[in-house]
Amino acid sequence: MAKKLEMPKMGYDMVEGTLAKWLKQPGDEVSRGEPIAEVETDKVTIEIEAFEAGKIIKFLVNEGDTVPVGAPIAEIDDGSGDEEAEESAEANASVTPSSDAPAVGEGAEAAPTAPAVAAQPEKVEAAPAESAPAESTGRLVATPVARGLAEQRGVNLAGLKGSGPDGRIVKADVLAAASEPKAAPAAAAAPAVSEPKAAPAAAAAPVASPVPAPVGLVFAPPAPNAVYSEEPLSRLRQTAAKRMVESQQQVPPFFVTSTIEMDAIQELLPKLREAHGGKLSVTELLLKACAIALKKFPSLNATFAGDKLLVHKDVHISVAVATDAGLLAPVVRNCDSLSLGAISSQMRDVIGRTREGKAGLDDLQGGTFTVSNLGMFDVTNFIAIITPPQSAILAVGSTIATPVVRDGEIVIRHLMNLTVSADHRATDGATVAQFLVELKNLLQNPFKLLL
Amino acid sequence: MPVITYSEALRQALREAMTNDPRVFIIGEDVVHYDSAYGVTKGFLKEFGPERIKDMPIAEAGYAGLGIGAAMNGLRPVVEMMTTNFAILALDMIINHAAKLHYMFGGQFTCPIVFRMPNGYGQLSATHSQAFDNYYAYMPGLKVVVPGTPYDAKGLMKAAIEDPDPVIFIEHTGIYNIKGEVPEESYTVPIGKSNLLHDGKDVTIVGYGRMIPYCQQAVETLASEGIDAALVDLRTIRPLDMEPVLESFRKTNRAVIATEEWTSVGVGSEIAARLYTEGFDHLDAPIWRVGFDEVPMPYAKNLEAHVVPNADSVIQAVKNVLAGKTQKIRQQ
Repeated sequence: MAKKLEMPKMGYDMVEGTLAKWLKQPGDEVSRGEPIAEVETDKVTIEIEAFEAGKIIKFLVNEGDTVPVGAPIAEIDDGSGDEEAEESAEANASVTPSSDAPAVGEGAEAAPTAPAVAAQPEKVEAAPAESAPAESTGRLVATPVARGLAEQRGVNLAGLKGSGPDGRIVKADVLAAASEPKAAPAAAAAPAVSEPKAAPAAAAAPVASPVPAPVGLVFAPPAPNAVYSEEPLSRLRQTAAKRMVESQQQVPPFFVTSTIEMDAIQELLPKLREAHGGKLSVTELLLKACAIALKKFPSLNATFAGDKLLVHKDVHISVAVATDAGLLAPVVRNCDSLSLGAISSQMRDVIGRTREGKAGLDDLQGGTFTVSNLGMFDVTNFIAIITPPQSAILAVGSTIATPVVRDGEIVIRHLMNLTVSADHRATDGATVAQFLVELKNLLQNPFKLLL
Repeated sequence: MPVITYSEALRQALREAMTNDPRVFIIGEDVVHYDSAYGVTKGFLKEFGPERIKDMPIAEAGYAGLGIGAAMNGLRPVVEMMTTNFAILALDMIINHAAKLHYMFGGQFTCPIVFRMPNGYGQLSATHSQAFDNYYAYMPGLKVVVPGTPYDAKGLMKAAIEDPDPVIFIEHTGIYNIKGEVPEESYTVPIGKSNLLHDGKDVTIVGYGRMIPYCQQAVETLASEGIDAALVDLRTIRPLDMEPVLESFRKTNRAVIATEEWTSVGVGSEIAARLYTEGFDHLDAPIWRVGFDEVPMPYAKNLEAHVVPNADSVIQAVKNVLAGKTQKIRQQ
C-alpha cells in the first residue's frame, strides 16, 4: 500500500523546508529509520528518515524545492496488502488532477464533481471503506492521550503500529513501546550487559527510533579476548557523537584563556541573593557578562555561513547541563536584554525542565553561544568543543584561592580560568582576547552587570 | 442502617419537610384519595389533613401556575406531575414563569417550588414513554435533579424543597422499588454535586437516574470479566458538575455515557462535548452514548425491550469503547 512521506515539522516556527538532497532513488528499498533525504530549514540541515520499511515509488518534489510542512514529498510502498488495487487507485488518483482536472477546472461552475466520480467508479467500490480514513490521507492517526504520552516518554509515533481500528495508535501501544528495551532516550539510563545474548538488541532494532549514521572512527574490541560489557548508546549520545565529530573535523577552533579575580563577585553575590530573594549563582552573572561582552564582539555571537557571517541580533545562551540522559544545553533567551533576576528565573526554569526530561525542542535549540561551567568539579581549566552552528563556547573552571603578587606583596585572591574556543573562520584571536578582557572587566567590577 | 425502597425514601423526605415546615404542601393529580399514581404520598391525607395535600384537576398548566404563585408568595409547594409526559403541558409555566421570575423581577421574588415527575415505560406506548430531561437541563433558571439511589432520592428531595429556586425532580417508574441503605435521620444531598460511586481504571461510565442501577450491575459483571470500570452518578444535570467525571476520565481515558433518553441532542451529548473539550488531551477512544433507539417508543413488548437501554447495553458499550470503535447514531 502506498504511503506518503511528508515534510516534517522540526521546530515550532518551521513552516516550510527545502529538500536539499535525495539520498535514495525511486525503486530503492529502504528500511525503517534509514535516511531518505536531507532537508534544510532556516536553522539546520536534517536528514529525514523512512517511517517504515518499503520501496520508494516516486518523489513528489525535486531537489531544491521548498514545500510547506506536511506536504507530501515522496510515496513509499510499505508492501502490505492489495497492491494491485491500491496501485491502480493511486494511478487514477494521480492521473485525475493532471488529465481530467483542467477540463473540470475550466468549467468549474458546471458539474464540478461528476467527471471525477465517473472516472473510477469500480475503484471506489474496491477500496475497503473501513481502512480509508486512516490510510488514504497518510496522516498519522493517534489518540490525544497517546500523542501526549509519546512526547513525554520519547516514543516515535511514526514507528508504531496502532492496535486500534484502522491502525489508530492508542495509549496501550505507546506504553508497550515505551517499556520495550531499546536504544531510546528513555531506556538509555540502564546499561545492559549483552554478553550472554545478542539477540534482544537485534530484535529490538526494528522498533527503535531512527539513529544518526555513525561518524568518525568506529573501533573493534581492542583484543580478541578482551572482557567488556556492551552498553547501547542513547540516541542523544549518538547524535552528540556525530555533532562533536563534525565540529572537530570541519570547524577550525582556537583557544584563548584568561584568569579572572572573583573576589568582588564573592563579596557581591550574597547581597544580590538577598535582594533577589531567590537562588542566584555565578552562572547567571557569567551569562549576563557574556551577553554584554558579546554585543561588543558580535563575531562570537554569529554563525559562519560560507560566504557570509550571520550575526545574531539577540543573545541566546545555551547552558551545558549534565542530565541522566546525557549532556544537554537548554537555551536562556535574550540574555542581553534581561535583568539578572529574569535571567536567573528563566535559566532555572529551563534547566529544571531539562533535568526532568520535559524540555522540548524549542528549549534546546536556537542558542547563539554556549557557556559550559565545570567549576563545581574542581577543575583548573578545560577546553570545550564548539557546537555548530555557533561560533564560540566558553569553558569555566573552578574558583581557587591562590597566592598572588599585588603591589609587591603576596596576597590571597580567588581566581577562575575562562577559556574560549572559537571558530577561526568566524573570528580571530585578537577579538577573542578583547572579548575576554571585557568579560574580566565586567566580572571584576560586577556592579556593571546591574546597569 | 435501614434498607428501604426509593419510593419510601422519597416519602420520608416529604414527610420530614411537611412536619418541620408548615409552608410545605403537596398538590397533584390523584395524590390524595388514590395515594398518588406510584404511592409516594400514601397516607399523607390522614397524617397532614386536607389543607396540606390537594388533588388537582387534569389541568397541568393551571396547577403548575397555582404552585408558582404560592411559591412567589412565600410557600414551599411540591407539585407532583403524574408523569413527565403530562408535565409538558405545563412547560410554559415552568419555563416562562418559574425559571424566569427571579431574574425578570430583579430579585424581588424567588420561586422555591419542586416539580416531581417520573419518566418511565412499560407498554405505555409512544406518548407515555418519554424522557424530557434535556428540555429542563437546557433552561437557565432551573435546577434539575435525577437521583439514582434511595439515599440520594431522600437527600436530594430535602435539598430541593429547601432550595430557593425551582427544582425539577425527575423520578422513574422503574426505580421506585429498588432498595438501598437510607439513614432515618435528617440529611441533605447537595444539588449540583456529582458522585463517584465506583472507582476503576479502564473506563468511566457516566450516568444518572434510572441508569444507575443498570450501571451498577454492569460494573459488577464487567469486573467478573476483568474489566475495571468506574461509575460516576451525576445526580444533578443542571447545574452540571463535571469534575468527578473528568477526574476519573483522566485516569481511564475512555468513557461511556448511559442515559435513558434519545441519544442525539440529549444530556449525554453535553457530557460527551465537555469530555471532548475539557478532557481532550486524555482521550484514548471515541466516547459511546447509551440511550433509546431513535424511534417513538413501540407498544409491543419485544420491540420496546429492544429500544430501551439496560445493563447489557452498558456492558456492550464499554466493550466497544475498549475496542476503540466509533458509534454511529442513526436518526430515523
